[in-house]
Amino acid sequence: MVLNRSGRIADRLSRTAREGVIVEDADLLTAIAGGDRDALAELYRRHAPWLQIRLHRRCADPDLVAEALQETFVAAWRGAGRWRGDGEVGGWLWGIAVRRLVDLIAHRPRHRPLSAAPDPLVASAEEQVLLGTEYGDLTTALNRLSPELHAVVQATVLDGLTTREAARLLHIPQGTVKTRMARARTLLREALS
Amino acid sequence: MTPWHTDDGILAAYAEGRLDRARSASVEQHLTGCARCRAAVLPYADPAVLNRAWADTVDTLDRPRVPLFERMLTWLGLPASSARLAAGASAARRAWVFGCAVVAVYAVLARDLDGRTATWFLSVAPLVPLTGVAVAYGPGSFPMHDVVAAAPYSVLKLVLLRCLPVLPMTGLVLLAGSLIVPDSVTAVLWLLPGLALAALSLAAERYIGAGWSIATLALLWMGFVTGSRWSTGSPLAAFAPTVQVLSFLIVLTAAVAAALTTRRARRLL
Repeated sequence: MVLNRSGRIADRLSRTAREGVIVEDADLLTAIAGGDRDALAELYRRHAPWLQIRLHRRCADPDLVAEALQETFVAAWRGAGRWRGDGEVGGWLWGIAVRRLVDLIAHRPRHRPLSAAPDPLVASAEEQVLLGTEYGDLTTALNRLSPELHAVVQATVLDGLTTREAARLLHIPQGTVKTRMARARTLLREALS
Repeated sequence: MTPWHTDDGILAAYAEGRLDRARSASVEQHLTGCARCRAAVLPYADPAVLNRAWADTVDTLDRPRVPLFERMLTWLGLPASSARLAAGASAARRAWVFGCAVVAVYAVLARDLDGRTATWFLSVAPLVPLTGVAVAYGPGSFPMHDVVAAAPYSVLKLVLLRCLPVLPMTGLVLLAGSLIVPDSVTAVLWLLPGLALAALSLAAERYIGAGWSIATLALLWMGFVTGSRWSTGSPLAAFAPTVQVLSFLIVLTAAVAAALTTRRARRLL
């Protein structure tokens, strides 16, 4: 499909409604780099909801989540020109958002981040079988990790943070992040073998 | 693109934290790359947080960016309002830095420190920091002067804040100037009296106002240089060791007073 790359985002979005022309996220970033506020508003409309939910799963404080969200889109506005165009825009935004959250949490020492998911529920036998067939043993193993180990796995593997950033997020020393990660890896490997 | 999509039940459970970890993680990975499910998650987001974050984003983008100097001061631990105050005279400061540069060039040209040039140079150069204070903060040249005069700030703190941009820059400019001049022993002579004059003017400014204190000190200094020229025959007499030691003591006292007051001010803020 040939996209009309010229013209303001607002016009193109109104054509989306009428003619089904799709404006890609990458096009939005190009327009944002050119200083188009409407494009930023559209990017926010598309991405802020899921980012808000995901950030809220990492931190229960709505003030911090709102602040991280705001800083993310301010950074996107200023850094849109630096986006290299590889990978998903969603992944890029999440990378900014989670690091902003880490910074905000690190500046509030008394803040306790949430461990991401509730402690693993004792699944019914039926559910165990279902899980086993659906996702394999890794699911069970991941759900069985202790909250401390899971927090480290989530921060480093799932959220893509460095050891240093994970340490700041969880308020533990970097060495502890490494040992917990090693233990989690061993447990997961055992579960798969 | 992705053949599989999450259903509303799973999204609701995820948003409310009822989903187990493994499935939460896979929902999150999916959302990162799937526009359709990102749109479907909207009903579970917190509209209050979204509206606030958007309002703050627009607000931040509309606000002018904080200048580097001000950010540096904030980073050094100064409260934002004080940093704004100290950096508020940026336009005047540029004019003054230009003035300093002119004097530094003059110093390079006036290498021969024996004739009349030397007398002029040595009488004028120590006044550089002094005029720095005057130009950067005097009424008429300092756009924030009226605002500051009406603000409920302690006068001493205000004076110290005003020193912030002037003193270190003066020191650097004068030091650079004196390093450029060969045989810099004589050229460095004006550094200490210059700093001492600036410190004195800032102290006197509290009582008689910036204009008067600077004018008086400038006249006194010129008179002193001319007087020593007449009585001893050399313009360098105004930079005798006694004067240097006295200047050093004045600068030291000012520095100590500044350090003490800043600490007290920081405790109050």
